Amino acid sequence: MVSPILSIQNLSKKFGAVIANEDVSIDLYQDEIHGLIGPNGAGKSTLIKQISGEIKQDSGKIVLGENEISNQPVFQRAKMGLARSFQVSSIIPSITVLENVILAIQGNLGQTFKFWKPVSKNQELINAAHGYLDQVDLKLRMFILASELSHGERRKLEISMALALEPKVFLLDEPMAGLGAAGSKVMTKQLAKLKSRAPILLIEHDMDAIFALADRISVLVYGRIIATGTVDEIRSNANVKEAYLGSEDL
Amino acid sequence: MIKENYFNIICIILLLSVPFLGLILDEPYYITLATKVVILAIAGAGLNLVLGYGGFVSFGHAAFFGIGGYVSGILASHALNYYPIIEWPFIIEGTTQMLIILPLAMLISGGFAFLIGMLCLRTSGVYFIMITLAFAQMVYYFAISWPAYGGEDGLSVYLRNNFPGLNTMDGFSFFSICFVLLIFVLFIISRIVNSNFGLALQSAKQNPERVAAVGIEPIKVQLIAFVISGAITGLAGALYTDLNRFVSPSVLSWHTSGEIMVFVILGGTARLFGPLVGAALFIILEQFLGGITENWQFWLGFILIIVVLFAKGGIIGMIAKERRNG
Repeated sequence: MVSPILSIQNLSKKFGAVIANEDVSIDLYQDEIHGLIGPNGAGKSTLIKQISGEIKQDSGKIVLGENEISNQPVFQRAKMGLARSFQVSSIIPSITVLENVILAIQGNLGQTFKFWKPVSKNQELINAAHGYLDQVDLKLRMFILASELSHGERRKLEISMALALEPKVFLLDEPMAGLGAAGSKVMTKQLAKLKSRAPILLIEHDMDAIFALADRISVLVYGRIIATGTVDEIRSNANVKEAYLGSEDL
Repeated sequence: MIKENYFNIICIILLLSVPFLGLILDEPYYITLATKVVILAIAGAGLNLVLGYGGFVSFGHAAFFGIGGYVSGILASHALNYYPIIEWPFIIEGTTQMLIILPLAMLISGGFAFLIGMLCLRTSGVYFIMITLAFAQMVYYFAISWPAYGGEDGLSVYLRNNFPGLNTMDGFSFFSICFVLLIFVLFIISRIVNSNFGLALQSAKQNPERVAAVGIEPIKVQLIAFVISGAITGLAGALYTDLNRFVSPSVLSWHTSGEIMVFVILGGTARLFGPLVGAALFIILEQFLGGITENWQFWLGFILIIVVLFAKGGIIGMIAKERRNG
């Protein structure tokens, strides 16, 4: 029996009387992309925030590798190997693209509390950052301010920063959002490559992308997982069809 | 527009020319003014680290300025009166040695910054402004109601503290000490803001969620910056006591916090020489406009409004191009 890299166990979260997540369990194994889909308001965002640590679960637990991370703060989970991208691209706009990646590298290596050596003269960090930027074809743009990047380039920068964390798990929140057809294609290729570095929990609205990429899919409806299975199983699942009836042709 | 480095060198030359002019014209008052600018610039440089680079508007830096000032005043007054600070369980004597007083002032104001920062940095925005103000006011009222060191009347120190090999009572010598300290402080700050730590600090200002998501604890970064900031402002406070040979609760009042903030904003936030330019302009206005009208602060306010509305990056932002390295 192979043990999962990321195991979400019976996670529940209520906001007042509203049930956002109830008894959600997902296992993410090595070498897989696990897709998470669900209609708007199904509780996907709440689930991601609990995994990343922004929101604390009411009950249940999250295990990353060997370690339970349910009660760890956000930065600690990132240090332990959880790299996330945000639904709305989250970068540091006032510094260069290169510096954004360097920030991620120094976070991963625990080199933040160095006060003397200028970053611009730290060739080791810079070389490492070049590598991560190269992997997302952003090296030519590395000296411009991150605020000047296009939407698609910001997405790439986020992926590059996630790579720089050398994580155990990628947690990607709608990486295709707003990319358009051509951009989505590029990103799809990118994610397929990413999978060889670490497994991906992929939250995505773009059904075509999910069905093309995911090895397994979980469907979240009204805060509960109603089905988990391979792409074909999900396609033919009666409950899933019902949940999406009229809104999406599976 | 000129390069910021050239602008900074011009600032240094102008600043140095004032006390030399004072020497030549035999006008010691010029030297005193230049010294005041230098000391206030150090205070502003401390605040700039959190306000400019860290993005936290501290309205309580008078606390650190004043604590530094009182550390200097208290140590010196005990030494001059031959009366130990405490006698039990062991004797601690006062001292008039700057080389002891200045690091101690930095240590103690840095310690206070640690305590205040730990409580304040969990908040942000208006709440942060208010809670730092509240802490500074607590220290202010404590100083007023503490009769041992003069209470409301303040504490006079009839001699400046000593520095090995220099006669500190000589205005130019004292200016030199302060000037060297200012350059030293600015050098340290420039190293810090360009280091890994500085990158994290400036990133946390813009997007703390992102910083946490790459495994860096934003509050820890900000707290360290706050402590360094408090220590630097405390150093300025200690020098200010020496300059005036007097310290009173007024250095702890919120007016002082406001003035330090004005230096930073006027000169340019997150600009290394911003606080120096701001402090210099403040003193120049105080001297020249103050000679013409009692209400010179009206014109200071007027200039501040113009700068805030039209000059992003303060006076330096108007004149010099930002230095970027990457």
